[in-house]
Amino acid sequence: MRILIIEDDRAVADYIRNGFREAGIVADCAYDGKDGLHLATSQTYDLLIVDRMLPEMDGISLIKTLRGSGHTLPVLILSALGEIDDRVMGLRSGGDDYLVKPFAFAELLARAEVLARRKTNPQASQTVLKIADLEMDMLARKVTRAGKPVELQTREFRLLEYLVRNKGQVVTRTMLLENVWDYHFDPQTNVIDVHISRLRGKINAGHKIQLIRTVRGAGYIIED
Amino acid sequence: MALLFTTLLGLSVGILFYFGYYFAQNGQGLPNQEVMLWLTALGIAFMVLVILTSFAISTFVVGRTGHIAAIAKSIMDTGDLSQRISVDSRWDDLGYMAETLNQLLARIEELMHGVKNVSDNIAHDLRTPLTRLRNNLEILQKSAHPDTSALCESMVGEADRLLATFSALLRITYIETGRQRHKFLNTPLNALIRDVLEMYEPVAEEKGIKISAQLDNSACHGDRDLLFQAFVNLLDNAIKFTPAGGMIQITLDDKNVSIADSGPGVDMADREKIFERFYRAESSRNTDGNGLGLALVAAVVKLHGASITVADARPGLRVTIAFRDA
Ligand SMILES: Nc1ncnc2c1ncn2[C@@H]1O[C@H](COP(=O)(O)OP(=O)(O)O)[C@@H](O)[C@H]1O
Ligand SMILES: [Mg+2]
Repeated sequence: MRILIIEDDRAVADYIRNGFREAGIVADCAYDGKDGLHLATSQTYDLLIVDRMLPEMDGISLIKTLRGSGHTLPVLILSALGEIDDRVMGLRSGGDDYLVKPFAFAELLARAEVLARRKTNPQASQTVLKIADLEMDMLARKVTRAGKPVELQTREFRLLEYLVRNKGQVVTRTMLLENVWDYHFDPQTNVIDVHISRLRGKINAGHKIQLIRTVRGAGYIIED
Repeated sequence: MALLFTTLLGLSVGILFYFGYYFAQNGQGLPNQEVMLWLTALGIAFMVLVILTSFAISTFVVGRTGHIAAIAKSIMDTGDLSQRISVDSRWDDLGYMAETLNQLLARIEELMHGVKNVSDNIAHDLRTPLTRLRNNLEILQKSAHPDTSALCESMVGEADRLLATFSALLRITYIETGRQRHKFLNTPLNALIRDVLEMYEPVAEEKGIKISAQLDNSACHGDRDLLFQAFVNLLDNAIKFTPAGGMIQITLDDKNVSIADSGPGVDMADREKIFERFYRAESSRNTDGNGLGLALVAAVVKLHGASITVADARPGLRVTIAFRDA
């Protein structure tokens, strides 16, 4: 996986690049919009991380230009502003995800991996999702584990679906809130943990292999 | 303007007095017919003039005060403090008042701008280094000795709570500036509340608390994310402060949302204060929280032109939000 970081604050750019390096991911940096656009169009990347405020050309115009010329690579927008309006504007301009500065690196890493793999993820268009001995029939909305049916409520089904579609990758609590619940809010308590433990109870009951592992300081992962 | 009015009134009263005086002087008989006629005509003419002028003045005053009220209301509704009252005359009292009010608005705008700047400064000056601290601690934790690792982890947790407090504070300020109103849509309250319930019922269940809901079909004009957040904060409090085995009742009745719990409730003396930023009643200092939940609820309620009241649910607390017609 190869990532391009377009960020004028060098301290932030370096911090992100080092983080990715540690995770074994190659990352290049551009420090203004023009250079960024040039690199993004002349080289191949799996993901672009773009700051909203950039010298020479701001992040939003950069994304628009890129999309206008037919580039489909995933883009994650970084922003120091951080209000919901900005988020909507950023996503409308062609961004695929949005993260407010300051952020924990684990959050960026999880989002970056999910985004970068999205295109190559074979689970994306399948009607039956599989993980270990668990199967999700997306058309009939049914789940089975080792052939036996598992009864899930609508939200539990969506929660499991999101985890399975991103199997092998860490998903954070915020990602689950945004993608499974579709409200933009601060949950006050560990609601997500409660829902995950309920889901675990339902899919793992009577099975030796326990699915859905907690990754400390980051989120959850479902693996084969 | 007031001067003009007084002069006219004075003149007409003067005429009447003169008329009376004339009468007294010629008490024996009726005054000269012609003079009588003239004086009556003059008196009536002045009266008509007075009536016309006062009518003109009141129309002018009502128009002007109406304009001032309209601007004030528009500022309250949109939160746009850059609006000003138009000053089209400088010689009258209302023109002077309009100018003074405009100066007041300019001052408020300046202060609000100051508040916004301060909070932006908090965001920049404190959140960023705190995040760096947090992230470095996390790096340290990875290579740390098991004993130190646990300490690092609790420090990361502490930093996260601080960051969450800053974010909540900034969010309240942002809501208070009223800029989110342009996103308002017709929002069915029952669907929204059902989503909140679906999300928090498992949390209540873990604590052995039963939630019952009675919802009608009323809707309001608002921001679904903010309303969701407000109901989450209220339900979170209800679950948090109600002891295990308790009850929570949620009702939606004609745009009135009420959440009642069977917890300890809030003392009469504290009922106003709980909406203040960082306020937490003495008895709740050892529960989790930062005292910003209800301040945010209050900001959301105000943004929606709704009202919020707290009452005794005997036992427990009942919080009611009343939305108005859009
Ligand atoms: N349902 C409730 N029952 C009892 N006390 C409450 C309830 N809701 C709020 N309070 C009181 O109001 C205070 C402020 O609430 P809030 O702003 O949500 O802060 P926090 O939940 O972080 O303490 C609480 O600390 C508590 O003292
Ligand atoms: Mg609270």
